[in-house]
Amino acid sequence: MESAQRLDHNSELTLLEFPFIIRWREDRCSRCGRCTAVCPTRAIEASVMTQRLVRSEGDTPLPSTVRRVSHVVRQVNDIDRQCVGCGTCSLVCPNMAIMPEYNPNHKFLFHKNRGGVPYARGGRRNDPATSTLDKLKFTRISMLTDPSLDAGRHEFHIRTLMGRNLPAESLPLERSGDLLSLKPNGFIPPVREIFPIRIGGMSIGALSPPMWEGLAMGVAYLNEVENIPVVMCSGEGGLPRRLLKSRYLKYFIPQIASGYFGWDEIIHALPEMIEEPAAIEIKYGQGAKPGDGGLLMAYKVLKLIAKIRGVPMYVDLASPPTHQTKYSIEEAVAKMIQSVSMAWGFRVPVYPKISGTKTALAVLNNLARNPYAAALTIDGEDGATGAAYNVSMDKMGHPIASNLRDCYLELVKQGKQNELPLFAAGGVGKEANLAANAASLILLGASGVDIGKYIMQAAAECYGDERNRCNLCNLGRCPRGITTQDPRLYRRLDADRVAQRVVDVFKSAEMELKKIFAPMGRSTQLPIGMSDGLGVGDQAIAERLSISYVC
Amino acid sequence: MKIAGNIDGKRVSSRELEEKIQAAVDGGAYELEIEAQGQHGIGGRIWPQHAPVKIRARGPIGQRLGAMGMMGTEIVAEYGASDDVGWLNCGAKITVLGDVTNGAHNAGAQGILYVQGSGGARCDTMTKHNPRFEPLQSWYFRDVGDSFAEFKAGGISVVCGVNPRHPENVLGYRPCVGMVGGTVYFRGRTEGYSDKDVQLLELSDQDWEWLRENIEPFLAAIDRLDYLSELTRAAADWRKLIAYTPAEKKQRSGQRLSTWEFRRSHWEPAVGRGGIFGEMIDQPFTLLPFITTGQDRRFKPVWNNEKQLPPCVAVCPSDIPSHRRFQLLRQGKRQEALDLVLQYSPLAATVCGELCPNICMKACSRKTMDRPLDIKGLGRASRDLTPPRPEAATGKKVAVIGAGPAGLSAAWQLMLKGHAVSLYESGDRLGGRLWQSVDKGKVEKDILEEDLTRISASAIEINLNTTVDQKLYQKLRQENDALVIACGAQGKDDRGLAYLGTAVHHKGGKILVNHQGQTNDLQVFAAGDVVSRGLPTHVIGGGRRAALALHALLTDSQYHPESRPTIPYAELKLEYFAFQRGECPTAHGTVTTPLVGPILPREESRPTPESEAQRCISCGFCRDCHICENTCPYDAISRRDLGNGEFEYMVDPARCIGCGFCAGTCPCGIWEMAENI
Repeated sequence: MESAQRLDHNSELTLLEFPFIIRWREDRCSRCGRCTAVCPTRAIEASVMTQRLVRSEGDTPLPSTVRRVSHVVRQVNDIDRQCVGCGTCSLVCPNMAIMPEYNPNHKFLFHKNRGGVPYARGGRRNDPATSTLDKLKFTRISMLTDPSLDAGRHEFHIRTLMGRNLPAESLPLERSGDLLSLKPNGFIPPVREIFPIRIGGMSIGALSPPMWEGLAMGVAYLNEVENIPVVMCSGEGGLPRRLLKSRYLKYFIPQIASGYFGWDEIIHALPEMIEEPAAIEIKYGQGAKPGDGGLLMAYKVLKLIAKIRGVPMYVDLASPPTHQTKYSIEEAVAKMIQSVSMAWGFRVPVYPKISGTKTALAVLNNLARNPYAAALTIDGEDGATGAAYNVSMDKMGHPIASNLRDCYLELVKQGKQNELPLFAAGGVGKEANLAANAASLILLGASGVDIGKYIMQAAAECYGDERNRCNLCNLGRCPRGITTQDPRLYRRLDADRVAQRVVDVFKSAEMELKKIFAPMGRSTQLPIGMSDGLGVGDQAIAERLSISYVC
Repeated sequence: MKIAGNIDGKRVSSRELEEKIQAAVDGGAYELEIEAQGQHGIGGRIWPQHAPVKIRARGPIGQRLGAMGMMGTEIVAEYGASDDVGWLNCGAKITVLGDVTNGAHNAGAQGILYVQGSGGARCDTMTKHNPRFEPLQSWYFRDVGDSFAEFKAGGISVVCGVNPRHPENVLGYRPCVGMVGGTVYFRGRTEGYSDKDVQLLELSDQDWEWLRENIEPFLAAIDRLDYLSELTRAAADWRKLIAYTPAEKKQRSGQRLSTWEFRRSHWEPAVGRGGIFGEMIDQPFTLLPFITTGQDRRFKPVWNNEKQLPPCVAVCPSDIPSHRRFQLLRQGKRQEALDLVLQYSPLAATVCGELCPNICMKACSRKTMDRPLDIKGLGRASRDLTPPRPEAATGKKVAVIGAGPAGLSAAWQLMLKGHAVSLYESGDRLGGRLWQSVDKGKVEKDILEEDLTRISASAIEINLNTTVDQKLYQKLRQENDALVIACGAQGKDDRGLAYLGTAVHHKGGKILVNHQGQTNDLQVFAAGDVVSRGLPTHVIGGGRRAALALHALLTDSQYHPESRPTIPYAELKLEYFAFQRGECPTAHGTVTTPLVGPILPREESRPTPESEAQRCISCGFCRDCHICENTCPYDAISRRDLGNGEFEYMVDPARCIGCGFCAGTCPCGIWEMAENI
């Protein structure tokens, strides 16, 4: 209904509906415009304010009025331009005059579906509560009982095996004299010795060029200078030809997923590869948005991405939740592992990644029977993503701790716990306790963990948190330049500095892992599944994870 | 005095042996010979009163010989000793004529340890130097085991390296981890010492002097003086390890390969110049600041003058630009302001000033502040206007049938466009049904006459008392390039339109037209009540639109009816116009007036075009107020005079950061922040 009068405030939202409220201090503002120039959502803008003051200046009441019209910085109450609390305004403000403030009473989700479009965003599950991983503690500290080690003085070898690790008696070897040789047609699965914290799959496209290259360079540095063999998964967006052809490829895990983006380039590069990749990850699911596919929004599909992925520019790129050629678990997983293994002559470990789910055991049992399955990665609900519907992120998924634990105990039952490594992901380092979370998962049975969001926060100052701060990854407007393809934004990010921070993070995580493992007397072998080292002050969690309850 | 560790075949416990030793010393004994049998801690914690207490121990000696030994205690172990010799030594001189096993001098602080053979693992760890006393000395004739001198904080260790068990490494595996003080002198080779903690140096002259001076008593004590010349042959045979200072460590830790250097030395040589994306990205790889100018801005301001319509124009069927008329008034161009209306309507005084319901005023943005502008008054003031000069003759001929408001409007517009217009009216005067309004007293006769006289005086050829019948219609159709039918309301029986025959489609007394007023005969347009009934306001607008569409047809051009969007109120900054109450009555009976700003009028003053021009917000039309120019923090906006009262505001991209302050503070909603692509 059209109003005859100017619409007043009918149907307008108050700022109290919004998740972040801008605190602007007129007394400090110099009206320099820096805040409004950088606001990624244009949530603030310059405006005009009229004030009327009644003054009395004499020694008796003698009123006079003053009118003052001034320019102000105002928060917009348009739901499509809501303040996301990133705080870039306060970053650039020379006078500390502006700052977003979290509004715990917001009612933002009631409104964020204009045009019938559900709210989509980046980031991870918005749940600031302490995760199970962060409730676990290491309660076995040996001083006199076991040989306790000193992280500062003893030598450690924090490594894990990625690949199927056959027991000695199962190796297809025969002995002739003092020599061991491979039996005819024998197959020894490829295994890589790596650092137990990997950088999980984040695609070129989801990440900006300097972010992806910064991570890649940091990984190369860690391997070549620091002797920490960190590997990194490409995510599903291909790899640049230059990397495919370089000697650094051995530190990377190309990911193949239902969109198959960039895979023709990988196959074309096969004859030119001077190194083989660390492994190949087949993505079936993502913990942050189980059952929901990957999606690279059109805003991010610019020239570079179109080239690498082999797609038109400015189109939404869906990586469907299912592979079109997948008909049953038996058949689908086996044929994917076979095909991809063949590309590198069965010399590269190939493993699937699934999202945390109650059905993980079914997948695991399938893999346990498949001699070519190198590992299983399970990605729990606290994982992050560049773009998904809020409902998928907030309400779907399975926590990693019990999912991983169930799988490990199942392997123990089958006697295969040392054979098929499990990698755990999803919320590792959610509250910044990277090494502790990684160690907890290792003690619960993981051979290693993947990180994603953590490295963005630590290496590139990503603003995101569990109160929905920023989370604009899907829109390509990342104010840090991490998840955008807009050169005006990504050129804010220094790839060399990202690499430096990646190095810092892994060096310090390695030291923290030593600090955790040393009192357990472990310096050369990871305490995978050493769950008697764990305790938790929550009876239910203790029971569910079969670890000790401590209080 | 002899003390036995075994009496009658029975071992004396460590406690009893200790009690005997302490009792003997308390009794004045100062030379003890002890036959040990594995007793712990022999010879420690003795506080000699007068002379040094000398202890010779033989037999199997237990752990921690001389532990917590004190100054004045001299201990000689005649064979080897086991673990932790001189543990926490506080000054005892301990000579071991054999090997010591693990942990010798662990946590020692003062005193001397002479070892004739080798040391085991973790010797000289955690040693200290208390400045009140001489530094601790540990001498090993052969070599030492692994993890030597860990966390050493003071004292001097000497490893002579004679007949070492491992010639390639006389200091064992990974010595000096965590060492922060003291000195290790050694002779021979070492590898794998903790180079993050200690540095390997040649001996200085002072080191050499100290070593030569102190080695002789050592060799004498262990009965190896015959090695003196070999061990003091040359300072160059020796090396020393000393801890880095905290400042040195800090400086060294900053020396790691930067990732920038890694890019240059490792990464780009392997992947190519510009990194892994180098060949795919055209952008420079330099960093951008958050605040950018020029092409690197995310948004740029665009001076969208008149890109959006003010509400008054948006609702006017004749598109009369009241905002422009007020602008001219503000510029002091009263006559031009009034004359401007004739470009849009030939009947301004009659219709705008009297008959029109002035929907422009109902829409006026100003009404949200106080009251709408008096645009009717502008109509009323539109008397004695100067008729506009028609454009150059086009040579096209158009006949208009009917001289009511629609016909007059169409004929007027076509005439202004330079076409030869002939007007046919069956009655004896122009104006058609406008005269009914005079009869009803809605408009003064002289006002209408003035408007009609101006039309009569124009280049339009007027044929009154001429009824157009079928024959005349066909003649007009043939002789003219186009026709406009504005013959007014007709009966439903269509008889009034019989003259059109089958040439022009009509039904129920209405001619069927498209949205531009064009009939099925593409050269024939229709407007006014014969198309659909309406107020004079609307039929004048309809006549104008049909005329402009027809003009486009005749000149092979395109007619774009006004379609610009109406500016939303939200884009205007009405705050500038906010009024406040006027005088403030006070207790003194005086009245003060506000210091700044418009005042809420107490009584309605008579509006004039000039007063209204000041009140006009100038929606979507730059009122040339210079607010943006003054607001811009970076002096990026400037005004350019184009002459003839025309102007524009421009942005210097080299200065503009795209903050949008111009857009946010523009009273008229002109500046728009556009994606900077």
